Amino acid sequence: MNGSYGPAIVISVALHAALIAVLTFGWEAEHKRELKPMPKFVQAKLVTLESKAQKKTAPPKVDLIEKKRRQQELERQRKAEAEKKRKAAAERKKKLEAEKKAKAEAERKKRAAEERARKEKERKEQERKEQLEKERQSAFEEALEEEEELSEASDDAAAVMSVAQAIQQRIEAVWSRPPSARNGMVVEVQINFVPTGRVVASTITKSSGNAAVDRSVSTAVKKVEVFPEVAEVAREEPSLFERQIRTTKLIFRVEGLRQ
Amino acid sequence: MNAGEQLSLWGLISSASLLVQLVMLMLLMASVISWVMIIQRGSYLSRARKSLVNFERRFWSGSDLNQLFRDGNARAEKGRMDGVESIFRAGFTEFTRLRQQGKSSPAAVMEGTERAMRVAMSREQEKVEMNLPFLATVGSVSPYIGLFGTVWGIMNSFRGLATMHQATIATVAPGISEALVATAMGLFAAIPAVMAYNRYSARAEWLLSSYETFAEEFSSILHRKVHAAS
Repeated sequence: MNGSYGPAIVISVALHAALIAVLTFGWEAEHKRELKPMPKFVQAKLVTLESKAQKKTAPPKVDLIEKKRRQQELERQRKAEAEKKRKAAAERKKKLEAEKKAKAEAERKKRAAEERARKEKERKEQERKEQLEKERQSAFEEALEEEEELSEASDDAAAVMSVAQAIQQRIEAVWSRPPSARNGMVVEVQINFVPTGRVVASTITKSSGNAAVDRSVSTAVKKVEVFPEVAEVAREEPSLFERQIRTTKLIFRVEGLRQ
Repeated sequence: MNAGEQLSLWGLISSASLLVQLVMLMLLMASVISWVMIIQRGSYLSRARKSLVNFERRFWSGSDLNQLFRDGNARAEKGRMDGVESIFRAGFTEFTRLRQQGKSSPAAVMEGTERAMRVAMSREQEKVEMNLPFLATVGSVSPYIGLFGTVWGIMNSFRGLATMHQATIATVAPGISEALVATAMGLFAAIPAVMAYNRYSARAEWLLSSYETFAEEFSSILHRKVHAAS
């Protein structure tokens, strides 16, 4: 009579089975919640790509210039008015002084001052008109140029996009994210190329807010150093290279990290 | 979705390397067996304690020793006799046998009785301390086995990391996580085993010293009887 093993075995096995079951269910429930945001990262990537494309082929540049010109004009008018007001005030002050001294002298002085002011004003007016004319001409030319460029750009847009993507992929392949990187960080880099495809300069134009991440991006750019795709474009279409690729802005986004 | 599957408990275990899986299996077996021992030992020791208390009460109630001996006859025939009662029966049987022969001196009777009780007691000691060494082994070794599995798993996951281009935490974390399961299992097996070992060895010691005290007391009673008769 030494204690039977049967019940002990049954109890022990049942205990372990229950524990494993609890662990399995508890564990999975915990992870389903964390899993949900995963597909969102993929969506985020698509959105950024689209926005980049829009930026590159954005046509409303002409509009922008027009608006800027109008704004400048308005500002100039406002300035002229302010000038006028100031002059009037000066005149009044002078008049008062003159009254104190002598009326005749004041009269004469006033007339002279008026004459001068009128002359000045006339001259200013003319100048302004001339400048306006000139500016309008140049703006028109610029707009025309822009228009031409844009039509060409839309032809070349696909090529530029593919090159930009190739550059981005090359950089991302060697880009090692620092431990402090968090999903959703965005770094914008401006890269200057020479026709051999070599990078001559890269500057962070928009920081992610984390110095280590910014540094890691510039390190990755330096690590790749030569981009054969860029060299190819520069060889085959030098004008396209000059226009679009010599200075390229790229956006890097930290994503897919498990946190 | 794929990452989530990898991170579930079963995903972690199934994606571990063969050696780590073996370690885990071993630890699971050790845990199951040690729990069998814990339950069986616990029930045995508590029963032995109860029967000791019960028997001592009957023994000191002043009833006749022959009567007490006859009460246990039925159970002794079935072979379900243990604890202090078996010591009593061994001593009493030897005593009556030697007395019936009538030739031996009182000193020889006492010597024979004490020897019989010593033999019964060492048998009892064996029963009480059975399986305790196994619990001690599980308690002291299974953390090491688990640690071995973990070190092996981490070693592999770092070796995998060396070939990677990008060393993010996400590339090592699953490997380390799956390796740590082995340590968790080792501790899971070891902690109850150590606790049970300490508790049961203390209880076994107490039981054995109680048996010894009883044997001494019983032999002093018999001693009085022998010398009163002669």
